[in-house]
Amino acid sequence: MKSLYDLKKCETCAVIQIPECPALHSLGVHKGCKLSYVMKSPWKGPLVVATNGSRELAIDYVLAKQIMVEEVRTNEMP
Amino acid sequence: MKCHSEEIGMTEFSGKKRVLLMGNPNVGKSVIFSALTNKAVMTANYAGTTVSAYKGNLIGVDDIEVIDVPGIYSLDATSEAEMAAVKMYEEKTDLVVCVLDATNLERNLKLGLELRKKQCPVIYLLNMCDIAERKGIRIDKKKLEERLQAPVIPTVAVRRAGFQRLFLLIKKYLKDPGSYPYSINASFTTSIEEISYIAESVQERIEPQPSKIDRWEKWTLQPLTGVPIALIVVILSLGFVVGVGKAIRAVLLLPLLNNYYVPFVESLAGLLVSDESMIYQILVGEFGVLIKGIEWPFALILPYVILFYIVLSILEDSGYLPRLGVLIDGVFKKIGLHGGSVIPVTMGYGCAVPAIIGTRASSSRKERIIIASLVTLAVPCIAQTGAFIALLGDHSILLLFAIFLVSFFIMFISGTILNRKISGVLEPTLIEVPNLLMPSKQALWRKVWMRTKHFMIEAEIPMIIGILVAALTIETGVLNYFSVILEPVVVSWLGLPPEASVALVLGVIRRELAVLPLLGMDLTVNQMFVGALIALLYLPCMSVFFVLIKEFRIRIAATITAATIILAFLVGGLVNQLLRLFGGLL
Ligand SMILES: Nc1nc2c(ncn2[C@@H]2O[C@H](COP(=O)(O)OP(=O)(O)OP(=O)(O)O)[C@@H](O)[C@H]2O)c(=O)[nH]1
Ligand SMILES: [Mg+2]
Repeated sequence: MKSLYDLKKCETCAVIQIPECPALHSLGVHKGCKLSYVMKSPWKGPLVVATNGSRELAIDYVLAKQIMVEEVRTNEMP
Repeated sequence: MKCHSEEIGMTEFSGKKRVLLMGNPNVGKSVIFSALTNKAVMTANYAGTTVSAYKGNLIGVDDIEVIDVPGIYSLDATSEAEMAAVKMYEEKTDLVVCVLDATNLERNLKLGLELRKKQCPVIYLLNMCDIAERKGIRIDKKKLEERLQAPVIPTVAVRRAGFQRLFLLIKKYLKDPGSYPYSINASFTTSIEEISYIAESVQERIEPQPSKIDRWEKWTLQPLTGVPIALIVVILSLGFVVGVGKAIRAVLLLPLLNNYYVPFVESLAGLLVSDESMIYQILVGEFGVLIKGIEWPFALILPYVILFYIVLSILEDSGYLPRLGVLIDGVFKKIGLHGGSVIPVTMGYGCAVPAIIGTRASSSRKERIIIASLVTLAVPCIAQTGAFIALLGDHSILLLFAIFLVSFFIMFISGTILNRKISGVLEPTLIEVPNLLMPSKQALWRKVWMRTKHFMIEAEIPMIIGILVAALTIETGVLNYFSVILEPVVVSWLGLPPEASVALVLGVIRRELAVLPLLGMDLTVNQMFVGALIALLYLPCMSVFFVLIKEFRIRIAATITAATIILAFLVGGLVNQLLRLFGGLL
């Protein structure tokens, strides 16, 4: 288990714990959903992940640190 | 964005049948609304374009009205937009047209299922099918219909593909609600598991060869390539607006004006009245309404307005702006804003009114107030920029850059201060990054035309009034009184000639009118710079002031306005004194 913020290049993870945040939920991030690394923006900017392997979402680094994930191997992605 | 269809309040009833156009943000609802009603509304490729509901009659049917509801993610009513939408739904709904984004089905299904669970019949549109194809997503329409127990129509809204069936079904179901052939049973759930199950069972993905546009999607986000791209975009945009604008003026508009129009109205006025008379002066003199009333808005400002709106519309429709927002989020945080605020701020370089209304999509009131203050204070609208180009750019392009640099600097300082002073915390950033799209030509022209027309209506009358006021105050000698009163400020503190006070008077009406009168005054470079600086910071124009009252109440509107006046005189004066001390710019 690690935080989403520690996700590295080319990694994909599944969310296992998520803070209470309706906005996050609305945007399709919930327990069990798979996120893959796209990029980390500079100057303490957000982390960008792809949900469902396609749509990109920029998540604040503070919030990303509170989202707990576990890594899944990329070949398990749909 | 202000526009020409009716913005509706919450408690309006008419005897008509009501179709609600609902869906997640940025799925194409407004494009579909325009196609269904033939009414022009603003569309753009980012979430939160439509911030208040619009209504219009279904084309050719007077007793069916369609409502473009601002985008929402669910019926949970956790945000203001959601509460408003739920209220609208509960008020009166005869049919829901729920727009789903085919490139993001799973997330769209949450609201989709919630709507189906309610009593009202739903027609689903599976929009953006062209982009889904590009991304290798295939959706089984039949299966989706089965799972949703409702009709599903694949559409490509920008090409109006699939709309015939939509028109047909809307009319059919409203005429005879019994003809809706589906029903749901009690076991219909909207749980996350169900959503994932449906999404997975109806979709098929193949990894297509990444297209050029897919590669741009990567490049614009990665800092290493994204930052240079951002710089190039800004420089190209500026170059296009300033360069092409100047060329059009020099080659076409000014010769037309000076060689044909001016001699014509002068001789016309000479025929009607004696050229010694006051009326002659008011018509075609220094501030002649017939001359300046045409020259300023049409020959001076309009080219820049059109060019800027071309650039803005391309940036909006391509989906580039949210990507820029992600890149500069870290920097924007320091002034109390999210990266996403780059959208209203960019709009502010066109006009502050839609920028301030657009802040409704921002997450907190604090952020809204900061954006509104910064845009009112330090972001010149395109009309004012046009005036700056005429005043400074014709002299030296560096001066023009200097004004923009100062504007950034002031934004940064005031943002930092406001961020500290206004209570409330900034919600963590969450930006949905839209697909990069190739802007469609028709959509572009429609938007540019809509905005230009709006500018002409909005700007021309106040400008003529301003010019009349100027002509009258000068010709009747009233200006001399003003000049005497304002002299200590204008002459001693700001270092401008006494007649420059006319700019301060006119600046109350519109922002560019605080610059334009300086054009004919033979100013030194220092004076030009100080004059431009004051105009930049000075009062918001009337329409902005009223929007501020409407959005934030009078207290905040008055505070922002007072701050702009104080800052304008303070900064203008200080710069003047400094320039004097150090011998000036040249
Ligand atoms: N390629 C393509 N682009 C589309 C399609 N439908 C809409 N668009 C574009 O998608 C963007 C969003 O469309 P809008 O109509 O503004 O979306 P909306 O749902 O009203 O968005 P909000 O008002 O923010 O809730 C615009 O740039 C449209 O031109 C489509 O089927 N194909
Ligand atoms: Mg819209």
